[in-house]
Amino acid sequence: MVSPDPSLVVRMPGEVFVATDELLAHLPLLAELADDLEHDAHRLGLLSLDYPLGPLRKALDECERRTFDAADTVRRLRAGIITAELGYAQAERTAIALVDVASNWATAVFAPWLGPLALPPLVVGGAMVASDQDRRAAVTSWILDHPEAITSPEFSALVRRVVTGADDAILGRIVPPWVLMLLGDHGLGLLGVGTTAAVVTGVSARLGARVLNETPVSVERVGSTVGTAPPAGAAERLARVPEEKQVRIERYSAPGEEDRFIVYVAPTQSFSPVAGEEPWDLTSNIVGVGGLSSGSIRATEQAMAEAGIGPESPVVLVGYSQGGIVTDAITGSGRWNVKGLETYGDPGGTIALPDGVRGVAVRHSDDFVVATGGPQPPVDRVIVERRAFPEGSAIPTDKPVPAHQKDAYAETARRIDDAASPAIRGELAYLDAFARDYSGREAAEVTTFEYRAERVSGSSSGVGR
Amino acid sequence: MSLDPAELARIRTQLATLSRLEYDADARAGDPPRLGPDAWRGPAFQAYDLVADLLADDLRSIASDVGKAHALARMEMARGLA
Repeated sequence: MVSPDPSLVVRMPGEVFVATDELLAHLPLLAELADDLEHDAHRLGLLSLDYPLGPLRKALDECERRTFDAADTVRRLRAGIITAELGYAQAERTAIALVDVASNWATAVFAPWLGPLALPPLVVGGAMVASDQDRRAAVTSWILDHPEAITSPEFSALVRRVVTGADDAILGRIVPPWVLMLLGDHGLGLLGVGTTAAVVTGVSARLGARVLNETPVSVERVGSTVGTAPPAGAAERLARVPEEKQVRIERYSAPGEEDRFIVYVAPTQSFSPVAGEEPWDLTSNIVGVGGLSSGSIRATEQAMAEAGIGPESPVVLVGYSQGGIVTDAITGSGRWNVKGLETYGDPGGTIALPDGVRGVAVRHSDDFVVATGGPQPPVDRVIVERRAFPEGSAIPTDKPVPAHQKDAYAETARRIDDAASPAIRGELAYLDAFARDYSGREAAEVTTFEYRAERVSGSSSGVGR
Repeated sequence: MSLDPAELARIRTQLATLSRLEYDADARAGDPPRLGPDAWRGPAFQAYDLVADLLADDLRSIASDVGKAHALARMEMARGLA
């Protein structure tokens, strides 16, 4: 059932307007009310002319005037809401930018003392994982016992600032702070999370280290079925994102029409920083955030080619977590005809996308994994945010990073399906129609392919190849 | 005094129009626009709430006035038919 949801915050394309689903759904209702009032005011005016001068005509004229006034009040109320929310969104952006600039400046100034702390947390964490199993178990246990410590918008903001400032802390040892400000996220944008990730993986490859070392991948089709119903809504699409079989591709065929495809990409399967057999690993996460060609990105593109997707084939991509990085990178590559992009808990928000890519990006404000990708620039997609565990709610202790878990995003997807704002409903209708346009036709066919990829051991691909 | 059928039909149409207008005004008065505090990210809720209250009062008052005009029109028709 469609119903306005105040827990969903909707960032319109370009992030010019940011408001809750409930507020966005209210705006067209106000416009409709103003139209209705004006319409009735005109009818009252016309009716009044039918009566001779006297008490009745006077009463009708007064009703007409007051109804016009009410319509005007409604229009001004609507305009006031828009102005207030625009102002708030602008103030919010300014405040965040100022804090980020101050934080980056401070990091650069104090760089000589911050050096050892400057490496991105994932790399430090990865090194810990690699070096000490006991410490890893202790950290995991502590995180599970204290989910509230890592499940809040404030912690996510802190993570975002730390990863953003990591490069500043390293480079601040050798260049003045003002140069860093000029080159950084709030200047020319030449430095940032992507640069840091690219440098870290590049250095690792040059040193021949096994940590964060990219490899070639091989892909095998492991399943094929005919007759699947097209997905309806965000929750159904998210539910189709695979786990162990990392890529699922649905081909929609109709006589006389070009085949269409929906590609679903899995989240991270292994958090080991040492590249093993699994391409959906920490190495792919960091390489992908760095804007380079990770094992999981190459594997997905191989699977797409194997499924018959050509450069002109219309494709919608759906990814969760690392799957989001993969789908962002594939969209950003410009090698595919991506018609829509739907991501959940995606840390790849800094990956540049072509203009005009529609769809939704779903994030939890208390999911710090999303923040590890750094500041998320405005995009042409609708961004839907929700706090998975609002203050005072019980946070599960059986899974790490509860706000990043698929079941938490499944709940948000269900709410998105019920959302009332035109922005969300429009994107859902667009994504639903992509598959449903064909499925209702005579002799239409839906074929589902499943793929499993592995790293090819004993060789190094070098980063970016 | 009796009205000719064409005049009577015209008055009936006017009354039907007024009746419809009263019905719509009542419906709007019974469901004025309202957003709860949870729907807002910024501090504008209180200002909105104040205007929404005034608007709700206006809609109720307009509904009442349209109702009175409708009653007056009925009275005038009854007087004309008498």
